[in-house]
Amino acid sequence: MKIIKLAKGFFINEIREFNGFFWTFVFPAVLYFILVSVFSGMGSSGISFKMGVLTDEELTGFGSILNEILEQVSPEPFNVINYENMEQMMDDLKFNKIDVGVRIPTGTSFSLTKSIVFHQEPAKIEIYSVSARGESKMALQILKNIFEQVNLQIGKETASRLGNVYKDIEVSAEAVTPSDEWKFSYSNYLFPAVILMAILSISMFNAPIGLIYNRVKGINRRLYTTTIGSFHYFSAFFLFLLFSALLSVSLLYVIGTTLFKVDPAIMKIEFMAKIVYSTAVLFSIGMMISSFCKKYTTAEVIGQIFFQVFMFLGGFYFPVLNFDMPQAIKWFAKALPTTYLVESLRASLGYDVYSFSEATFWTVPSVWLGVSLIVFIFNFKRVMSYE
Amino acid sequence: MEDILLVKNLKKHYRDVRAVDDISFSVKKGEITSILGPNGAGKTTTVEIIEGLRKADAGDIYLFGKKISHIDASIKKSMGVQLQTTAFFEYLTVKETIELFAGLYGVTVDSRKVIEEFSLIDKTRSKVRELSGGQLQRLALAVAVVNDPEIIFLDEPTTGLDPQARRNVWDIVLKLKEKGKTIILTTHYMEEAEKLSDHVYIMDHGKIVASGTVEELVKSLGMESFVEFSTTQSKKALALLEGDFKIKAITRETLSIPTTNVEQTLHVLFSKSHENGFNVDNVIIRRPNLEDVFLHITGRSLRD
Repeated sequence: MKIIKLAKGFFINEIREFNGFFWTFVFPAVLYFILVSVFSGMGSSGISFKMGVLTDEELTGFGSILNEILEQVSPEPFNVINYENMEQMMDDLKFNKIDVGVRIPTGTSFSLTKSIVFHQEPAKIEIYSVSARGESKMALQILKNIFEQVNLQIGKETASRLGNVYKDIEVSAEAVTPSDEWKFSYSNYLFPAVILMAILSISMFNAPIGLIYNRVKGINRRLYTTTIGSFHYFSAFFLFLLFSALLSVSLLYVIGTTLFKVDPAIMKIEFMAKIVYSTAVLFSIGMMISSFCKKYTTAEVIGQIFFQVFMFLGGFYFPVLNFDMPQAIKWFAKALPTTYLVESLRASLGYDVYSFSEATFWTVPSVWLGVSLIVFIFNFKRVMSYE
Repeated sequence: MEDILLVKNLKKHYRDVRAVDDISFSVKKGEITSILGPNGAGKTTTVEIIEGLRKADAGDIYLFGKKISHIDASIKKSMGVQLQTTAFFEYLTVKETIELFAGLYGVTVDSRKVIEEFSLIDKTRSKVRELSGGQLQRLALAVAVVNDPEIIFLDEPTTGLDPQARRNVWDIVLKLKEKGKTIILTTHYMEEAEKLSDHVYIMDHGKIVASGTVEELVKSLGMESFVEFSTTQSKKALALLEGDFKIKAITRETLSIPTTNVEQTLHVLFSKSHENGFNVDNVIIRRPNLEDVFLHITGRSLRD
């Protein structure tokens, strides 16, 4: 009971301090908002869209105009990928491998010739897009604009050379529903990172700085004059950290599920178990830091270094191992526990960028957990400051 | 009166420093016992060993008549402690701090009553960080008694406080004594020890160099009074009076003569002043105090 009372004391003291409250609860949520806002449209502002093209016949005669158009729009703004069959193109569109699909049906060359020469039977082009996807909508719009320009140009040429009225190419736009199995969402991709960042913040700052601050200021000595022993003190402090992490993570869950509609897979036991495991690993590292530092200002600096390195080289926000980096830094990143912890959480949501094996997910963090705990246990008396 | 605490041959060394050097003392129930000494004398180390915060290298501690090898929770329940450095959770209120510490002892208290008793009622909802030095010390005292202890350790409770705040703390300590509490007080303020103590142990360099009631210690000097005066020719006065008295310079212009016969001392002083032409100003006749005792024993001032 007294452990809970003391943990409550730690917690109230922490949340009333602006720094503690901000970094533990506000910052992860704010960062989540900012990153999702900035990066959720990632790719939509790019100048190159992936366009699938399925040509049901060899384009000949006036039909070759379409070939020229396709050549002119490639590689920018469209990177053209040719398809052999409709099914494959639709699958790739649904799975976001292409932004837009264009089908040039059988008879297009003949229709185009008839529309130009005889003012009969307009050619029909089918364009497929995913309306729910910004990139796809934009690609569709650009294609429509291009065909409008092409129609105008052909119309002018036809009128002046043949004295005919040209029948415009008809563009039919079809909306395709993206696959439920795969939808890239930066808020989904980011959610595990923000969760881990919240735990990391508590582990790298609250844990070591709190322990050292209490030791330096004599708070734990004052507590030891009561019936509280060092194990009670540590248990209460650990409970306080755990409760802070739980609250911070819960807050992110609420934001993630209500505002960003994060994948319901975050509610699965597997995902939550991975969060618990990550908490154990990161807390133990925080405890280890408290073993090294005499002053809390030193712990602040070391905590900051661990925090930044774990976060950015751990690939919280970008898949850094896929970047063109020096090999030594890649190996360093591969030695970090967060690389695996965040990837493991992402894998549960279908975003395993690096395709690590299940064993790798657990092995490296476990080594960190084990070593950190051993170091902390050996230094326990010193950290707790009693003879 | 029975001994509530008995310490025998207590030793604590830090490398070459003998912080506590084979000391023995006892504390009687219901009394205020002071350990008086300059900074670094070993007072805090001594009480922190008894409080269970440090381990002794050697020696025995008997508390409530029983030899104690380890200060466990059951013993701590009957102890109240106010450490030299007051450290509480800065963002908890006065009320919350008192209730938290009561909870750590497993007791419930009427926090309002405690707060009233220690004159903190207008600070009930103030955070610890908003308290003045005197208010913080009063809170520290309140927390020290929140478990209704039999024996209370107060480690330099008035250090850094202004005279008014110091007197408030003294009043509280005396009230605690009236309630039958046993108090062990460490201090380097002579006035504090004189005002509060039933028994005084004077410590220096880890050793107890003298002990007794204030009266006994003062009497041990073998003199009734001090005649102190100032002169602009202190060297001349010192040289002329050295043959008659154990005269000492307190400051550059102030000299002090210990005496058992004030009238005769004043007669000699003024005669020599008249004959030799040195001025005598600001003459004070005062009773000896613990400062004189400490000076007599160690050759140094408590403030040195």
